[in-house]
Amino acid sequence: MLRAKIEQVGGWAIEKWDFFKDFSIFVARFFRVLFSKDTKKGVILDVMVMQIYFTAVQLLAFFLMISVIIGTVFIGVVLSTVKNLGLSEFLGDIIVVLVALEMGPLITVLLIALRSSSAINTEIAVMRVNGEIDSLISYGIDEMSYLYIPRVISVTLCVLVMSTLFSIIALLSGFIFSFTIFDISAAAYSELIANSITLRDVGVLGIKSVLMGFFISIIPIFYGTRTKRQFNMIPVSVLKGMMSVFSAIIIVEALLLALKLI
Amino acid sequence: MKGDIKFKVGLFLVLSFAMIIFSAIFVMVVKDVFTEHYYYNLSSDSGDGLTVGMSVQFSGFQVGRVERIELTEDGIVMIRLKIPSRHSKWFRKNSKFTLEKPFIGSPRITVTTPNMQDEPLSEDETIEIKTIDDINEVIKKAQPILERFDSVAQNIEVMTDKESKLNKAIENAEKIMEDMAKSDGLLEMLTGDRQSAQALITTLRALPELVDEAKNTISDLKVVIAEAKEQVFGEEGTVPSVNALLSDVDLKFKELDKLIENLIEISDDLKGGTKDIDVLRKEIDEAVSSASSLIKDIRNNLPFEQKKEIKLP
Repeated sequence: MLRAKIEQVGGWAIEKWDFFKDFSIFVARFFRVLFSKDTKKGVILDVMVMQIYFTAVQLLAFFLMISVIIGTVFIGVVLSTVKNLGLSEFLGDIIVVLVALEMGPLITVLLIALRSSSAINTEIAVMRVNGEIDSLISYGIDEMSYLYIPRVISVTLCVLVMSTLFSIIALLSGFIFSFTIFDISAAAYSELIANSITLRDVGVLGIKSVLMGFFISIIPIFYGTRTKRQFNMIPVSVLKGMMSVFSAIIIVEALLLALKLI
Repeated sequence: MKGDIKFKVGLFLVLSFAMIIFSAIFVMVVKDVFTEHYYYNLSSDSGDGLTVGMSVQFSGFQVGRVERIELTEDGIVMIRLKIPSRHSKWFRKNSKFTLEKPFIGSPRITVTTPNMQDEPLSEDETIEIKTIDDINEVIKKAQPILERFDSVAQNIEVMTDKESKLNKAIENAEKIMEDMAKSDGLLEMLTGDRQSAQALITTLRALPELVDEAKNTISDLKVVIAEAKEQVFGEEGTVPSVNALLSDVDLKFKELDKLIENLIEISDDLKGGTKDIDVLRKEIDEAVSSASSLIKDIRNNLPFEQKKEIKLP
């Protein structure tokens, strides 16, 4: 009984280790191909344009609306709370840290993961089940440079740009709220926010966005490539991929927070 | 279609990057990245509470930041302030610099300038900074209170010591309680001798019988009261009879009232009748007097036929 349990734990650990090893090899191959001279940049660019269109442009209207709503409401709540607690001195720092560094990347990543990561996972899984990836390989086309690299770069770029856009729009809409409700002038608000933004904050925002963007695109691709050749395994692949994406988002958040505290 | 997608993607990227660059430039302008700066030097005995980037304030407004903190060979802490040119006017020769460490909030350097007409502060000068430490001030104020607490704690310790008076008092109290627990202990303590205590105990023992007797007497008294109550307030008791009598008397009085009213009416009628009799009597009197004068006249004229001649004088 006890032996069976230990075997179960051992099996789970080996499975996870194999998965981690395969994933690391996949990521290493990704970077090797990305920086390889043989990679055809033109093909990458074409697929990238399509991916940016699906990931960012199609989502833009909804994303901007969400940025304005969350920015206005959230900054309003923060403003009133901070004012009531008598912590007006830290108002700028609180808004910048919460909106620009924490909420911006997180909401952007969640929106893009919901929309694009699941789509990428499904697309790659279907291609795998249909044997399309094998066909590409048999024709001598490198699936990494043709299928995976453009998607990962596009999603990472979209997360970076859209996180920054979210932060800017949320801070701007926060100004409208603070002006109408608290009568804070544009000069005072901009000075408050600008003085609270440091180069380090911008760096953290960039690193966080890039890391999250990278993981929410490469994890679904990896799960797609590992799908068993049965159509009923496609939802299972997407389910597992999305769970891992969510875990990756949390791990990146926690790691960066820990680094910031250190 | 593909060209359209390319255009949309391109537009999105161009506009996004333009917005990001514009925001970055705006932040840099607000943060005085492109502004000319003045640098002032301060000195302090300690670097405690000082940090790079710390706010420099004038009249509650931020006018600059601490750019650098250095420890010199002499052990003096040198503080370099970075002030945008538009705020340099607040820095004069007579300006005083204070490091404020508030109880709540982050420390800051405060500039006060008593005379704004004074010469501008030179960047080569080094001014000593004073420190106002709210936390230490609070500790200083709290020190006497803490000392008092300490003495109270010592007192409590003395009081709770094995040989302390309080412990002895408690021991005595315990002894008294033990004595009290013994039979007759408290009575002996209160009366002072055993005989009185015994007498009191005998009395107390007889007390239940007395109480029983008192109870019996009270119950008898209750029966008597109940009977008296029945006699006085019962259906055939005194009070209902008196009530009936009173109501009868009341009825009689009412009848008597009516009778008196009738009598008054009769009296009134009689009074009217008396008045009529008076008038009649007058009329009769008048009639009688008329009759009397008529008789007189008749007498004077009698005999009517006897004297036909009248004698002349």
